[in-house]
Formats: sequence, structure tokens, C-alpha cells
Amino acid sequence: MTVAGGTRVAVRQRLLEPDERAPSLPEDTAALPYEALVRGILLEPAEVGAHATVRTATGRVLSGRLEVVEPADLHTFGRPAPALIAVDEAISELLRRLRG
Amino acid sequence: MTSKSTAYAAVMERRAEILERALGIDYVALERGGVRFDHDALMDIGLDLDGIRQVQRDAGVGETPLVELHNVTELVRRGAGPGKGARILVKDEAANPSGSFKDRRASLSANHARRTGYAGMVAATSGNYGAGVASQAARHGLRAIVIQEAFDSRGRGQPEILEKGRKCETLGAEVIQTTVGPELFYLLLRVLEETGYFNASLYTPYSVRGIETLGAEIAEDTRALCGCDPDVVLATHAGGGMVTGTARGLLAVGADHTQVVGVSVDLTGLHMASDGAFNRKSFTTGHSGFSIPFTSWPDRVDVPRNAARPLRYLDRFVLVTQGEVFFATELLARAEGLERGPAGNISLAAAIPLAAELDRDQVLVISETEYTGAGKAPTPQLAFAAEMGVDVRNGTRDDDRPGEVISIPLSLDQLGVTPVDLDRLRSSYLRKAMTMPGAEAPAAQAFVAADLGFGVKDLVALSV
Repeated sequence: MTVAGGTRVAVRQRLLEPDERAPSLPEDTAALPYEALVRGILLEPAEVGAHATVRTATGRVLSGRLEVVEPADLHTFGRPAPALIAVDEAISELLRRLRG
Repeated sequence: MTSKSTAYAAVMERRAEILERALGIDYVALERGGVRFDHDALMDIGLDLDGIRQVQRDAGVGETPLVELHNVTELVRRGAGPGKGARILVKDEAANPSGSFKDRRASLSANHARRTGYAGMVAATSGNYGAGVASQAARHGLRAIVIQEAFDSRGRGQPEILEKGRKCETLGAEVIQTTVGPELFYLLLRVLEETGYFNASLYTPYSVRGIETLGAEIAEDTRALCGCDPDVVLATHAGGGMVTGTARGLLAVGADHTQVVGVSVDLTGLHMASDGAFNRKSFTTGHSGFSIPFTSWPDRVDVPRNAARPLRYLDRFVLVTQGEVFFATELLARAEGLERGPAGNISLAAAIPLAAELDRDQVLVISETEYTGAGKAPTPQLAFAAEMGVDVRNGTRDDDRPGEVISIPLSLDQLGVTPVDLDRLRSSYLRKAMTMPGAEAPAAQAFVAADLGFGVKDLVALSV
């Protein structure tokens, strides 16, 4: 898919290959590359998964692999855990007793 | 044009020159041989407490309400022994511009960066500090870059970190989100070198002295409300800044009998640099994975010397469980009408059992709240923990297993604290200090003794 220039995207940069990383990492981390994801405005049309250049919020121009088109913040308030509902019930009961 | 190598070792080798340009502090000139450096000179930023207050007032920072938790206090008293149950108050730091006390830390950096001609600030943090830097940069007309350790290798990020990233972007900052690893520091150096921006590290004197107003306000507000100094101040403890700055502020206004207690979430056993363990912790800061190593050796940070020296100021250090903090968060919302957290609620969890040990006429102050919302509230945190395979259930603190079980108590009397042996941390500091050149000199020993918070003669006893 070609993404139009001017679209807000996120690009992934590979900063260090596994063999270039810091010494003394735990085994699981040491086997992985060190990468960063940065959001910005796409400067030229580019394919998802291909090399792309963006301008970030501070005006820096960065390149990386185009990973997300119009990245969104989709974290939520979540579904309450049964253990948390039990806590809320218990606290309500404590407060009922406190207020007589 | 020649571009400098971005290889790990090459960047780390340029560390001293990059940091000097990005901070303007000549740390080498402050070194006094071996383990010793001139901490007092480092802390001299050309502003006294009133000067710091003025900078913060101009930036809309500080002078937050001190709120008495009447209902929590009453619930504690009902379960405590006769005459026991101290008054519990909390400094509502969520009222700061970006929603946490971190604005105090960012404000002096932003003020200094603007006055000395930097175009922007950079901070490496997954915490509220990023939003503080972004907010203060906006107020001072500076650019801001926040580097967050955010994702594991499967691209999953804790909802709390994602929320903090969102907030930084909303406040105009560029956010760089990385995979797991200590190379965060390497990346910080690269970004500082490329941009020429100011290093708004959490561990500079600007950052730590910015917290002194919090300690001073806690003493002054408590005097106004209760007619006495706080007997105990509980400070959520990670890198040492909150403990150091708050204690210095208390001392600056003469509250020298107030006990300062550091509180962290117990995450014993989780490796902080492990990709697999990264998302098995429900707390991104204020936990033992930071506080234990940073207390026993403060100079492991992104500047040559850490302005925060927690052993100089800690009277007591305790751990609480993850489940206890979730209980405290719900209690604060339902009993007091304050939806806050999670950071200050780490201290609230400890305040409940500690207040029960104190007399009724004593006063215990929790040093902070923080803003909450999507990603940060207990529901998304626990939903994410369950997705990561953590067992979330009701039970006692003894059942809590970091990375495996979050055990949430159902009553106040199930809350407790695990003491951290400060002498063990002092001993660890001492062992490390004694390996440094010149450590035997009397002046070096005096510095170490100051860092450890007691006299030189005690050092000898501890070192054998």
C-alpha cells in the first residue's frame, strides 16, 4: 500500500543489531536487535514496510521502515478484574460501617 | 562532511564530551579524587529556595494542596491499638501542570536551558517525568524529545507507558519509543549529540533541587493545618530524587525532626533489562528494581555524578507489594474521592500500616499524588498483567509474587511493609567505594560517611 506524503505515520529504526548491543545483557534481550519507533509526517509517498522519511514533532528528519499509518493511542480503562471488583465491594462495606 | 560513528562503543567513548556540552556542568572539576566529589558545589545552581519557588511559580508549578485523608485515617484508627493511628495527609501533586511532582524537576532544567541558549531538552524516561519535560519545554518555548523504553520484542507496551507517551505528544514533544535494553542511555547520547539540546536528566542538580520546594511546602502546609511539623514523610522511592529533594526541602525550612521514609514496590526477582520480564511488572517506576541499586550506588545514571544521594537522607526504607498498591488506589478513590495514582499510592499503601504504629496526635504526610486515566488506572494495569500471564487474585501480601501473582488484599489490616536493611545497602555502597582509587584517604572517608548518612567511626565497624 502506498501512503501519501503528508500522512502521519510511525517508522521503525534499527539502531543496533544483536551483535552490536551493550555487553552483559540478559540472554533473551541480547538475541534481539535494539529498535525505536518514532512518529512523524511522511515527507514523500512510501510503501508500508519500505524505507520512509518523516519529519518529527521537533522538526528532525528521520528515516526508517514505515510501520504504522496514522498511529493511534488506543490504550483504554480496561476490563475490571474480578479481584478488583471484590476489593471495591469490600471497601464499600468498610465505608458503610464507618458512616454507620 | 564527516559523520561520527554511531557504533555503541564509539558513542559511549564520546560520553564525557557529549554530556559536558549538553549540560554545561564540569563534573571533572568537581572531582576530589577517587570516590569523592564536591556534592555541595554540584548542588549550587545559583538559586536559593526562594529563587526556586519564583521560577516554579512563574511556570505554574507547585503550591499544590495538602489534603487530609479523614476517612482513611478513621479506618486505620478503628483497626489500630488504643491511642494509635496518626493523621494521614497527602500532597496533591496531581495539581501540577502535567499532573505530577515531576514538573518541579523539569522546571529548573527548562529555566536553565532557556537562559543558557539551548533550543530544546531531551530526557530518557518512561515515567511522568517525560510529560513534565514536555510541559515545561512548552511553557519556556523550547523543543522536547522524550525517549521511552516502551515495547518488548513482540511490540507490546504497558498501557501506563503508552499513556505517558501519549501525554508527551499531546504536550508537543517528540517521543522515541524503544525496545527493551540499557542502550536507552546510548540513544540519549546520540540524540543529544545530534540536536545539541539540553540533557534534562533526572539526576542533575536542577532536577533534584527542583523538588526541595515540595519538602518545604510539606512542612509549611502541615504547620498551617496541624500546628506542628510532620512526624513522618513517606516518599515513593526509585532513583533517589524524590527522597533527596524532599528531605533537603524539609531541612531547609527547619523540619529537622521529620522522619523520611522511602517506599518502593517490591519487584524482587524481575530482571529490569530482560525482554521477557519487561511486561511482567505492573509498575514502571517506584519499584525495587530501581531503588535498591540506586540507593546502594547512586552514580549509575545518565550523568557522571548523581545529585540524588538517598542514603544521606533516608531514615527508613520499606517495600510494599503490587497488590497492596492496587488496594490503596481503590481506597483513595472510594474513601476520599481522589482518583489518583499509581505512584503516590505506593506510599499510601505503606502509610496505612505505619500510621497504625504511630500515636493519634502524630502526623504522617504522603509526598505526592499523580494524575491517572486510561492506561494508568488499576483496571488497565491488571487487565494487561492478566494478558501477560500474571495471576491476579485476592489474598495477602505473602502471596504476592512479582511477575507471577498479584495478590490484592481485601482489608486494611492485611497491609504491611517489608523493611529494607539500610545497613546492608550502606555496606554494599562501602564495598564498591573501597574499590575506587584514593578511597583510604581521610577526605574520601568523610565523603563516603556523608553519603552513608552517619559518622566515619561507624564506617570502620561496618567495613569489617
